[in-house]
Amino acid sequence: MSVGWLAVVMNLPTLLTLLCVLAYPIIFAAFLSLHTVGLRELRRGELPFVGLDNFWFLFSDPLFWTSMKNTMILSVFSVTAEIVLAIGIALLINRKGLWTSVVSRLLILLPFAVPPIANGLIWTFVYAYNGGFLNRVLISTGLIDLPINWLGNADTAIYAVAVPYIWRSLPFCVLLIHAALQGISKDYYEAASVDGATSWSQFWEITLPLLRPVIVVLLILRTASAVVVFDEVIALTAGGPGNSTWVAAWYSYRKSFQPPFDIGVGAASAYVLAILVGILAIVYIKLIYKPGV
Amino acid sequence: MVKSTSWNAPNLTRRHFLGAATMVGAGAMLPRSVFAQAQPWAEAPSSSVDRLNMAMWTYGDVWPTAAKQFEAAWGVPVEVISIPFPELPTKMMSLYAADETIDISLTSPATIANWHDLGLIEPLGDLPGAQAYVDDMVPTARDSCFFDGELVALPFMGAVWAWNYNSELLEKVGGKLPTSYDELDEIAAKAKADGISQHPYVWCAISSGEHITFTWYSLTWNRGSGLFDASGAPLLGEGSEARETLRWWAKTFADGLSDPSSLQLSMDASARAFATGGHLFRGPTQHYGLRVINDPDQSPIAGKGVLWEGPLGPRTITSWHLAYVSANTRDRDWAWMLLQQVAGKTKSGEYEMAKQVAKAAGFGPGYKSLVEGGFIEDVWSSWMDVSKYKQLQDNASNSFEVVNAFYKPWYQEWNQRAEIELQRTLTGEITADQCCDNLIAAIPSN
Amino acid sequence: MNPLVRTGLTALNVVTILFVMFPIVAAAIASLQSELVLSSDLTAILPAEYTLDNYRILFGGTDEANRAGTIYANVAYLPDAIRYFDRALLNSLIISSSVTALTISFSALSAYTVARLRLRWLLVLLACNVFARFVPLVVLVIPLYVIFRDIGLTNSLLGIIIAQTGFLLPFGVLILSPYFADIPRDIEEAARIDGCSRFGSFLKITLPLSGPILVSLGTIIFIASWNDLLIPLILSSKQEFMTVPAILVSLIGDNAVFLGLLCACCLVALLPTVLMVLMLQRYVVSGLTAGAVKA
Repeated sequence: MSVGWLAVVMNLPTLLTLLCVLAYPIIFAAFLSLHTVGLRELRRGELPFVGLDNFWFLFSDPLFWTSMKNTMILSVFSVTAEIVLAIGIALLINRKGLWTSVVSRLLILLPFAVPPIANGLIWTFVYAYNGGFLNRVLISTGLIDLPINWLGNADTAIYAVAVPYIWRSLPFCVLLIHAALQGISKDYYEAASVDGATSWSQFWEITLPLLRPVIVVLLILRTASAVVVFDEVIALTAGGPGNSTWVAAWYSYRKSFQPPFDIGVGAASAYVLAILVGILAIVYIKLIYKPGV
Repeated sequence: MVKSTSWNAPNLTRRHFLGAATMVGAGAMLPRSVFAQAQPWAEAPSSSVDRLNMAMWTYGDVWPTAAKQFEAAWGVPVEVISIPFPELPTKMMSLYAADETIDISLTSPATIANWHDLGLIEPLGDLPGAQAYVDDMVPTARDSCFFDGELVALPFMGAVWAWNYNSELLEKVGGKLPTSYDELDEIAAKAKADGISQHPYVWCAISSGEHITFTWYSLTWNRGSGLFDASGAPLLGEGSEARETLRWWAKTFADGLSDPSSLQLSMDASARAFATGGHLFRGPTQHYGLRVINDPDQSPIAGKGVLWEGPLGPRTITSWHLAYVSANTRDRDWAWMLLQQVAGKTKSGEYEMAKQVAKAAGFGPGYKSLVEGGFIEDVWSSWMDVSKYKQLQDNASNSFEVVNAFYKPWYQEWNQRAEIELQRTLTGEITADQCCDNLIAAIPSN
Repeated sequence: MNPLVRTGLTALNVVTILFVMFPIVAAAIASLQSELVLSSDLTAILPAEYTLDNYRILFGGTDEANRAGTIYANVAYLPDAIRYFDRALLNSLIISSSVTALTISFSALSAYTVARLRLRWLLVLLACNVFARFVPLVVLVIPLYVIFRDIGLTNSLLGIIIAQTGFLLPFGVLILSPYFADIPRDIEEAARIDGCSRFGSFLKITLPLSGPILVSLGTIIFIASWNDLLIPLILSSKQEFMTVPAILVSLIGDNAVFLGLLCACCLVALLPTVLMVLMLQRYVVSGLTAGAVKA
């Protein structure tokens, strides 16, 4: 068999899967976004073409813009927090000679394995107003007198939703930064020590600049993941109170799969999201991913 | 609204109900009905099926038990597709979109128009024994089962909206129940000021599954007005009762009288919050939450939760959940047998399921013979004042009369919007006026 | 190390450990108490009374005989999701194992060609895979619902398996191809001189040498599949076809919410994958880092 044919045959399962389960649905989503697709239309088997109406509807729907705004707040807050915390934790678990660091290093992986929806549900108990775990801890330790309504304040609910999301995203960030830290040669620090640099200035002058590439990777990957957060929202707030935690993925889901079952608008809104993430992907490919084979 | 749909709005008014009786009467005179008239629930249809299914909102062992009983009685196995209540419209849409065979299913009055309009509900008037059920139905339940003058469903459970108060805390603030909203506020403020209750009110105000909207509807109705008139036009304008009610409701939150977590509480969760003993009043919601509140196994305040009509007397709303034969059924006659098993009489001639759900969950039976025969007193008296329930049920209006828009094709979308706007009002983000203006604007003009 | 620094770092470690363990501990405490105890005292961290009844119900079933003598003896209604929990665990196991097997096989075949055969279109394919990794699930699942509805793949385990494999496959290719490329070519070439075909050398040389990365990939894919909510949530509306995450969602959507029971369900749901990660720690670390930065 020639090399060309071998490549085709060996790639056949992947190509078929990618075509049928990725490429075709994405093209089909574009088709859906240009048609009226509801229960009535699906049952009839006729999808009336409506041009860009679904998109015009979207852009004139204040709820869509609220969802986009909330998505942005959630993304900026969680990505920043993830990276800052991850740098701190990675430095911490990188320390030799501390048994607590060894424990941290093992446990920090744990959230990666927790199903996001289970995590979200557990936080419903953590956050509950009447007898939630967090209020119990804070009241018992005397830090507060009256319970706090963590998920009920329209101005802060989105941050409350972000915390469990950050919790489960941390392992990935810590791992990447930790791996990068281990790649930094000790010589840099030894030379700096000789010059009398403090640990603080070593961090700013050596560590952080050398971490820059991995931070860029994380910025892109974590943003792409934060703009489609869904599980925590469905578990904790279902968009509430009011519209304060409606995020982009929740909007697409609600429009498509809850009454009135408007798959056309749902697909259009998802497409807007796809384009945003697509831009991130292109940046990623141009900036980071240089196939070296 | 750029999008337009091609709905043909069924326009249901009282005159349809009046017409209904004659139509069903005519149905009962069909020859087959006459033959089957003796015991229509005990006679197998002439067709045959190898199995049936039902798509139901989950209620513990109730449906699996019904399925087993049906198989034992008729030799036909029944598959139960079990769906949590708030997800029922969503999952049913997905099942119908996939054109799955569904023999019978359930619907709330707020979604029946949707299914009917899509042609998914089979009329029942001509089926054997239908008239006997109609004759035995509680009046509000009967009205709920007719659509465009046709019998389309049987009532499988009902609820009446009512307040609860905590008798122990009420004693501490003087023991007198208020007879106006001003008095109510005074008592609540006193309870808070005296440290008897940090948040005297708790509400069922989550934004899903007919919760926050229904609390608002029942409050408004208690104060004297519906939300929409008989033609489906909104009664939400300047000075409307709906607006004033909402203004008052939002103020209870602003004044710190209402538990702020009410916005995350469903019917059951608000019962459990009330059961912690911190609240004086639980705002109007379905009566059967008391079953949890007064259950010594689950509630620290068991025995202290009392059913109450609210400050302005027993003017409230009721809602009947309906069981219908789906147009996607494999066999209409057999589906009718299964429908009777679930929401009518079983082979034994008893309303067995209605009795079971009444006993287990406190759901209201939709048939007069059960309400009047002393049955509910037997099974409910340990946790609720049954005479009060009956008084409320007798004075209750159907939720779809209070909110005539249930039958408008835009109601589902409007309802989603209403849930959001109401919550924004209760958190103080917008005023009651802005909320009502937004809700008027959200009604499509065509 | 300066004792002050040591104390400071230890304190920071304690804070980190507390943060990571906080929700898990909260869930564990809640799962060991009854509704009555939970709502009797709203400020105590530890309950006055412990019970294993939540787990008893979860594994023993909701029927009256099993409820007798437990805290749920007189409860009329328990969420139906509990009844389907065993089934969901089995479904999840079947789905995650199948998705893992398919993804590893397909991506290994493809990654090998990318790593070894110098063809221009393979580089394009690799770029497509990078791009595909970014496709948001919600964008995919809406059209998939309509497509699967037409071909009868909604409400089936197969539909979920196909959808998840498609979604996770690019990740597999991205992890494996740089690893395969790093395996010295001479070993393979020696084998080929001995008469081994290219495909044969892939099976007999490359794969056996890639044990660690295959374990890494398998673990990560299994976890990703186990944890996925959106695909089963949208593709299955019947409880028999739900996975653990989809069943968990129906717990919050239910009429009655029992916090203790809910937390017990969550802990059982996360146990298999958490154990996997703790046991295969090294592999997870290398897999995740390889997938993100190398090419």
